[in-house]
Amino acid sequence: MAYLDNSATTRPHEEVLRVMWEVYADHYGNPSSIHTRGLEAERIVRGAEEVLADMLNASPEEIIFTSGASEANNIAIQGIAKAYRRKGKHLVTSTFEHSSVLETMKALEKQGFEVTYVNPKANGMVSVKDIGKAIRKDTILVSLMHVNNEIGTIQSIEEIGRILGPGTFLHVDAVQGFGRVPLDVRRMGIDLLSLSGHKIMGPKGIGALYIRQGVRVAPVLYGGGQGHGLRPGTENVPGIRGLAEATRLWEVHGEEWSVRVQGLKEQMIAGLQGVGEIRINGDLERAVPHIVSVSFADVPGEVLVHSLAKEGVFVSTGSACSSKHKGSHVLHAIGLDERFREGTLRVSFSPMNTQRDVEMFLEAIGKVVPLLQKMKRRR
Amino acid sequence: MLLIRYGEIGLKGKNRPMFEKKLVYNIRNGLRRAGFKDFRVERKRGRILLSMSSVLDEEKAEAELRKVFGIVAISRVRQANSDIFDIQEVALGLLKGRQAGTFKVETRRTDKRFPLISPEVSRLVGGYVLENTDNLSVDVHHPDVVVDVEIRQEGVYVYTDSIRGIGGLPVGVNGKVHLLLSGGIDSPVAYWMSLKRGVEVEPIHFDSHPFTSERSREKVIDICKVLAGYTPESVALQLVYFTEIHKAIVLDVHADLGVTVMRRMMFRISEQIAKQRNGLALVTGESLGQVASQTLESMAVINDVVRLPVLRPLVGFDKEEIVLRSQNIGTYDISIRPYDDCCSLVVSSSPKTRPNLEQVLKAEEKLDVDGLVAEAIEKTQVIMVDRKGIESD
Repeated sequence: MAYLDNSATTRPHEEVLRVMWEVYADHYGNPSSIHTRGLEAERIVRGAEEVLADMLNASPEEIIFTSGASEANNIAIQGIAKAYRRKGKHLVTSTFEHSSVLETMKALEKQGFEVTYVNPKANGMVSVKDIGKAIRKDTILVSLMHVNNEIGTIQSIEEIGRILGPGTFLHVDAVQGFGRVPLDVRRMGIDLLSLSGHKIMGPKGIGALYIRQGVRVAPVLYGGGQGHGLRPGTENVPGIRGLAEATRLWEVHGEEWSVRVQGLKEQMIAGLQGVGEIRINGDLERAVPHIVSVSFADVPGEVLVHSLAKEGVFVSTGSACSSKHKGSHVLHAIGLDERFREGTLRVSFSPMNTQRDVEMFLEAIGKVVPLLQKMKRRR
Repeated sequence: MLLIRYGEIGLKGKNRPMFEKKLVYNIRNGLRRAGFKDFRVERKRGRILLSMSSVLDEEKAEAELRKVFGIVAISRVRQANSDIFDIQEVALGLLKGRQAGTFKVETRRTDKRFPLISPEVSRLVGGYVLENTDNLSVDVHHPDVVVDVEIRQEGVYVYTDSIRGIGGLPVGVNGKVHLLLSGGIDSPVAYWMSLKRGVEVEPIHFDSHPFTSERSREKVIDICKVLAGYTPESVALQLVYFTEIHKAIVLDVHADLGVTVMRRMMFRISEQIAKQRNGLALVTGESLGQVASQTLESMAVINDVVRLPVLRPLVGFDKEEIVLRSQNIGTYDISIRPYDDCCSLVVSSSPKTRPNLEQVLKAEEKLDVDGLVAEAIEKTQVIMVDRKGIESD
């Protein structure tokens, strides 16, 4: 079995499971309780804030925990819009963001906000110049992902941070970059940043939002005041502990893991050269090591995924034909030809993957792709 | 106690005892499969009586009985002694605590030993209820509720509120058929319609994984779970290995004949399965003219490969009617899940609406039809599905 769908989710690291077990079994208190058990739990949460803050070069008070990145994106974007609507009603984002950003933007448009959607270039990069052009006097927020989840390109966040005036905040959806690519919110000029646990061998159901001190975010959820009043509800202490542990592991091993994974990526791309008409999407010079987006001509992506699964190889496609438009909005946004768009696979690695996994993938591809191409071309 | 009435099967002359026995069997089995333990089902002169240990169970059993084919109406019944005073008390008990409204009493007396004639009983019971309640009045033409009093030799039954059953014939009295079940909206409705006419149905699903999603197999099993709620036994799903045939058709048959040839292969396989398993007919969810392949010409060419009768119970329905039925049956929400064979490689953008038999025969020459059919049947799995899922032995 070769699990190569780590951008969908990862298998949690054993250390993560171990520390979470401990919290579930022993430190089950509610951080809001005033007794000893509560205090223990609160310490775990404070400790986790520190770990995340260290990783981002932020301070612990700037971190709140959420149920995941989708929730963090919602709280950030809606919260800024709500808090600064008198300053301006214009927001800027790109057309290849995650749906939790795009749908939030759409909802804001219905509430009278204006949103400019910037198209990425064919190399999978949003140009800094295009962002600059989109910004107006009344722009209150630019929201951009750090690493694109389908093609893996690393966006020029730092440059964009530099061109924004003091009245325009920068929100970064860092789900695919956090842990894997260095992030420094101070240096990069990031005001808000969302991240998720389960993409970095942490648990599901946990994420975090960094909010720079001094940035006002109006609450969109109401309750007991946890998470600086922005994310009420009893803290998911085991999840928080697990996220912190995963973060710590990346802090310690990240560099070594990146090198290993980069090796797997190169092995894979080299191996794919023999398979006939293919495209590797996104600028390889500016992409993360763990994502390979490859398109095969004249292959139905969904059938390809099922066929690979039958061979024990698990990957994903951006072109589920159940979705209305053929192919993903990301591949659409980078202008990939339809013949290739339909047959696009996203292969994504975790540090647990091996060269054998890549070999299995290549063997399965060699077996399945020619047959599907033949079948498709007969139609 | 619940009183169960059945209609159509009362008309069936000499077969009647067999039909009745089957219905009783189906009721028993259905209740048992739904988890009921303490109950008794008796057949008495054109009625079936179901006694349960508690009234709470009665309410739940009612819901089950509404899914048993052959039942026309179900009423909750109280038994009274063969004595007018007791009948009055029982009737009052049934009506007391009801919302204000009108009622009438109807009496049927088959036990002629009872000293009062029917109109007298109705009058006495009605009068007693009127005297002892303050929010009810009598309306003999359009009452809100009818109180039925049945005076029979074996006992006196008083009941109100009969709810309608689904009618039809008890499943199993008309033998067995095999139905081609896709994940779509139509074939589960055809399944239900077949059950309604008293046949036992074994569904056949053609599985083309990996050309279709594993989730579409799940979907078919989920549909069978719902359908198993209407059958006296669990559903014996025939899961046919269709991948090789799918592949062969795509590679060797011209695209615009693909669907026709595919359907012919499905029919061939279905007929053989039916013969092995004592099926007397094939059933499909086809309707006329709904999609390009469902023309009379196309049906003729497809039908050409089988000798068993092919029943198409949906032929008289519009799409809206089918959708409505599927919603009532409970399969609609499953059928509209997105992963069906949308990626099917066979579907051509321009299928032939009027395929010609000669062309089709010529196209099939390139296929090892017998070999493919034999392989598909050999690799067919039978999955027993009950209301809660797959049964393990």
